[in-house]
Order: sequence, then C-alpha cells, then structure tokens
Amino acid sequence: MSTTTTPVPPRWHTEPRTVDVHGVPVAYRRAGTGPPTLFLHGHWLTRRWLPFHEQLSERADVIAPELPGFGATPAAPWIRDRTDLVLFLRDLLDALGTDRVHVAGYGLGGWIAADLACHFPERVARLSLLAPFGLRVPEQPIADIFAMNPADYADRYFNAAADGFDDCVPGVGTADLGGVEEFAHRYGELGAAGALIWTRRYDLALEWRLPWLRERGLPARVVTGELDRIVPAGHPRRWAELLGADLVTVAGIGHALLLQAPKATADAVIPAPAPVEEHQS
Amino acid sequence: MNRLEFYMFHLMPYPFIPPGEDLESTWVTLPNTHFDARTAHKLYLEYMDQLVSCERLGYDGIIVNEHHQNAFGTIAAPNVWAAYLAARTSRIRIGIVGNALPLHLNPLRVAEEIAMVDIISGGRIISGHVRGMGAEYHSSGQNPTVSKARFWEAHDLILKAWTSDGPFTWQGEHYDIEHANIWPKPLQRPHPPIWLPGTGSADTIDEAARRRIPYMQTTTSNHVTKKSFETYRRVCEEKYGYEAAPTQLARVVPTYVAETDAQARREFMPHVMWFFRTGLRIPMHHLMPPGYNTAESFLRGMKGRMAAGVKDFWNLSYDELIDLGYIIVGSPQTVAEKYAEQQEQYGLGAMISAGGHLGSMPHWMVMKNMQIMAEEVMPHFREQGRPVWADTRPAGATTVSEHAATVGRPPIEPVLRLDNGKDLPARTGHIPEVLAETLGQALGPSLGQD
Repeated sequence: MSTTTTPVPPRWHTEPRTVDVHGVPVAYRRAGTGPPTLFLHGHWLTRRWLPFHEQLSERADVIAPELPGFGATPAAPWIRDRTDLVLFLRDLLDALGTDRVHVAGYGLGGWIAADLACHFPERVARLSLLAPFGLRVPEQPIADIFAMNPADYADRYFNAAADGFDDCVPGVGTADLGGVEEFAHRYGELGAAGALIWTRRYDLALEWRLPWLRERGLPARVVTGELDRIVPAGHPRRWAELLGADLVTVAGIGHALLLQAPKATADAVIPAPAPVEEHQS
Repeated sequence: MNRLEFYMFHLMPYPFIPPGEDLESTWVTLPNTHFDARTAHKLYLEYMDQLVSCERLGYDGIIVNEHHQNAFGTIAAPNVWAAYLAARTSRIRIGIVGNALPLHLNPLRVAEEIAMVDIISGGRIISGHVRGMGAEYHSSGQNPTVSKARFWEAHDLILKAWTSDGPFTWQGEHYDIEHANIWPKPLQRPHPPIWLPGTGSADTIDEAARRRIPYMQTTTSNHVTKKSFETYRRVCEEKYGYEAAPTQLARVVPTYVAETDAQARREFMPHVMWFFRTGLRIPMHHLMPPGYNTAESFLRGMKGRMAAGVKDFWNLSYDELIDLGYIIVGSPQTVAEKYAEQQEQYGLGAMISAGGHLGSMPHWMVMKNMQIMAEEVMPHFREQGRPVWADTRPAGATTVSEHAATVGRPPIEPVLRLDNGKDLPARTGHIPEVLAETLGQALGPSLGQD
C-alpha cells in the first residue's frame, strides 16, 4: 500500500484492445478458443485479466469488455440506464462480429447479462450468472456496495482471508489503498455503477422476465460462493428458480470467488475438461 | 449602509451521543436509539428561544438548514422551522440555507413552501439552495450521480415558478411537469433572495457568479475562504462583466465572544471540539457517495487537499482551528478586529454563525455569546447599531390600514352568478339591499329560492 500519486497498474493488468461502438472506444480483452463467451465484470476487478479469465479461456473464446465508465472505456453521456447499456452491448456484439454468445457476468455484470438475455434472447446461447445482483429477496438485501466501510472489505468480500489481495479493492476505499489516482479511479467506477443501480437496487420485472427465458429453453447456470457475505444465499437460489437453472455452489468461498477460487469458479461456469457443446434454444 | 451583516445560524444538533472516536459516523448509520424525543423537546425549545432572541438582540437574520438522519443537525424540514420562527418574530430576516433541492421529488413543493412562508412572514425569507450533503444520498434513495443536474434544473424551475406567470409547461431532463402554476407566489418581488452555499468548488462559484446569486462559503479555513471569494469576484468581473457587491459574499465562521480572550477560549473549546470531532465525523464512504462528484473533480479536490495539507475536520486541534481561521474566538475587541480584517481583506458583507450555538453548547452559554456579540461587536459595524431590517421597508404591509392605503382592493371581486345572469357581490351579498338590487325584485320570505 502506498499514498503515491503515480498511478501503478493493478496486478494482472493487461493492455486492452479497443473496438469502436457509436464513437466509444470500448476496451476489451479476448483470448481462448471455443464457444464465444461474453464475460461482464461487476463493480470491481476491471482492467485485469485474472487467473479466472485465464482458466475460462482454456475452455472458451472469452471476450471481456469494460463497460462505459469502467476500466479504460470512457463513459458515454447517452448511456443513462441499464436499457441503454443493453442496447449498447448488442451493438458491441455486432462490432465484434459475434452473433450468439454465451453470456456470463459477475455481480452487477450478472444483472446486466440477464438484462441482455431478456431483451435479445436470440443473441444469447447460454447464461451464466456469478453471485448476481438484481433481485429483491425479502429480508435479504444485497450489501450496500456504495456505503461500505473500507475496514469491512476484508471481512465482507474476502471472508477475512484478504491477504495477497491488497490491490483488489471492492469499493471506493481510501487513498491509502493504491494511491490517490486509483482512489479516484474507483470513485469513478462506483459512480458508473451508481448511475445504473443506485436508485433501485433490484428490478422486480426480473420476476416475470426470467421465467420467459426458461420457457424459451435458455440454458442457464447460477454460480455462488457458499459463504457469500455480499449477495445472500437467497439470491442465487431465487435466480435458479426463476430461470430453471443449475445452481452451482463453490464450497468454502465468499463473494471474491473469482479471486480466491479461480479454477473452481471457472469449472462451475464451464465444466472442465469436457468441451462444452453449444446449446440450441 | 452597514459594513457587515450578522446572522445566527442554527444546526440544531443532538449532542447526547458517544464520542466520535467510538463511532463509525455521526451520519447515516448512527443508530437513532440514541435519540430521545423528550430530550429533543427541551433542546428544541431552547434552540427556538435562541433564534427568537436574535430579533431583540439586533441580528440581521436567523438561519436554519436541512439535514437528514444524523446527530450533527436535526432540522429535517427547515421550512417547518421557518414557519414557526415567522410566527414568533416580526421583522428579522429568516434564512433557509438551504433546502436540499435534489432530495425533493418535486421542486414545486419547495417553491410553494417558500412562497407560503414568505407571505406569512411579510417577505422576510432568504431561500438558500443546496444539493444536500453526500451522506444524505445514502439516506434518501436519491441518486447522487444526477444530483448536480437535478439541483440546477430544480433551481431554474423554482425561479421560473416564482417569476413567470402560470400555468406553464416544464419539460426538463429530470422534471416533467405539464402544469406548473404555483399558488401562492412569494411576496418579495421578483422573488425572495437566493443564497448558494459552497465549499469553494470552482463550478459552484462560477454558477453563482453567472446567476448573480450571493455565495456563502461554508466552514473552511481562511486560506480556502479567501481563495473562494477572490475567485468569485474575479469571475464576476472578468467573465460576467459586473462588480460583486459585498452583500454577495457571506462566510460561515463559528464565533464565540466572552469577557476576555482566555475566558472565550476556555468556554468555547469543548463545544468546538465536539462539533468538529463528533458532529462532523463523516467518513469518506458516507461523505462522498460515488457520482456526487465526477472522478476528475474528486481527484482534483483530493490532490488540492493533499498539497495544501488540509486535514479531516476531526483531526484538527483547537489551536489549528483558531490559527487556520475555521473559527473565531476571543474578547469583543479581538472578534471585532478579526471581523474588520476579514471584511477589508476578503470583501465579504455578512458573517454567518456570528455568535450563537455550536455543537454541545448549553443554552446559557449561547445566550451569553449572543448578548456580548450584540452589545460589543455589532455596533462597530453599523450606523446607530441598527440591523438591516430596521431600515428596510417590509415587503408586505404591517397593518391593515397600511394595506388598505397601499394595496387597496384586489382588481377582481368574488361574485355569485345568479340564475338571472347577474353577479351578486359575494362579500356584501348578505346585505338585503344588495341582494334585492341584484335580483331586481323584492326579497321573498326565504333567500335564494324562487
């Protein structure tokens, strides 16, 4: 940890490629062979090709864009809500020359992935949601990611096993965590997340839209850390019910499952080593 | 013209909570099990006495503001307080600085309430407009990422509702109101004075200067205050082509005056330190919700604070608070000298929190502070010691006879249109002669029947 004002790239940072979508240079990383898999980040862990991505890329052609306002992708003033973002993602798929993809997403990204499937089911071959945000489960609100005390990150995100992940800060944090430039960068990213979900931390429409995906026969999978202290267990259970999806629990792990159990999590998304067949909906 | 205006500014804290060092925050998550309404009843009555006393003491104005879900300031509905104060005073200006516009779903509600209390008070309201503390976005469900845009749109809508004839249609980015047509409109014309508080951010100052809105610097150091006022005056002159009047610049600087410098310092210390260490205990994750500022301005602010060595409120020592100018404390002579210095050097025209309540201060001490301020400091800055309102004609008539002489009858009389097509004057229609004349016939045994 340092208070330097010189930006230091986070660990696992790689230089992204860019693709233009309506004038926005969208940063993305892409590697691997197999079925094209669009992986949508959550409110943290941008700008990196994590061991989790690497694992996944051994089984699929992983495309990991940074959403407008996150990572190296500038915000676009005309993306003001999740609907705007989903339209943008459809056009991103066009720009990348991909038609039907396996869509996966983590946390906030899981919610966006589900939105994309609801709006453009013909573009989605499979859906994989990791600790997704987006539902309202009575008496089990998702943690307030915008107001969390940095002193609680280790406990809430890493289940008190945060050693080695100092530079993976899941909230705005403080300037002591990675310096003031990183602090401001995280502030901007959380602001981009806030623009999408602050006003309403859940979308009741998912309660009827997700069963429509089930009726269409969309293969879906929900992955959760057994000990998640950000997204309570009732959420992945409800997602799985509504989607008629498999619910895969990664044992002994919390919300930072991508970091703390990269292989097991990748296995949960795309079982290895058997190649995954393309599902037809 | 007086050289300086004096305002008492009340936050109405609830100080009976554990020390800041034992709390995550005095805002957002501080459990309201600490709040006892019976204790608040006593506090509120004392706070009201303090505010009401200001008129007799000769303050130019009294100010309340809006804060939510914290112990630092418990005025959740400042317009309610302003209405109460209007009833308990006669001439003193009443500032609401301010209503947190983006926290309200319909800005017209604010426009209406200000108009109402402006009318009932005889045109004594100052309408401050604020965004609300960042912490209040955590507590209200309002989205901080659109707060600035909503603030200016709400401000513009309120101003239009006060000054334009209704009905009109408002089709903004954040508010879509098909029929904006407020009843009542404010008494002061074209509208009650508007104040804009800020901490010194360049775009806030620019917007205030552009719109010729008086700018009120909130509690900051001398260094930051001076810079803000210089910026304001420069922007007014160079960018918008006018010279800022001193009355466009106000500064919040909690002040305590007592018999001697040493006595003042001793008496003020615990309450100042409660205010800064506990009342203002707002960690970053409450103070600055994501999107409340842009990442760029957030970074600029952080770097500026680091370069200038600005500390968090709760890390400032008492001596630092005095030396850096966050507060003013001393004998009447010391306080008068410092005020004169600020008036000359910063070009400001109004001191806010110029004596009055701060933090955990007991009632008697507030009254003592204000009494000495009124007797021994204010006269230095005034002709004949008179507050501004003593020499200003009220916006409304103060007596019925004055109203009759200056306003007279409204242009339209209420009437009752009768079946014969004639109009019966409603307010004199009970007089048999008037009714008979309108009916064009002698009255029958029962009025109103054929």
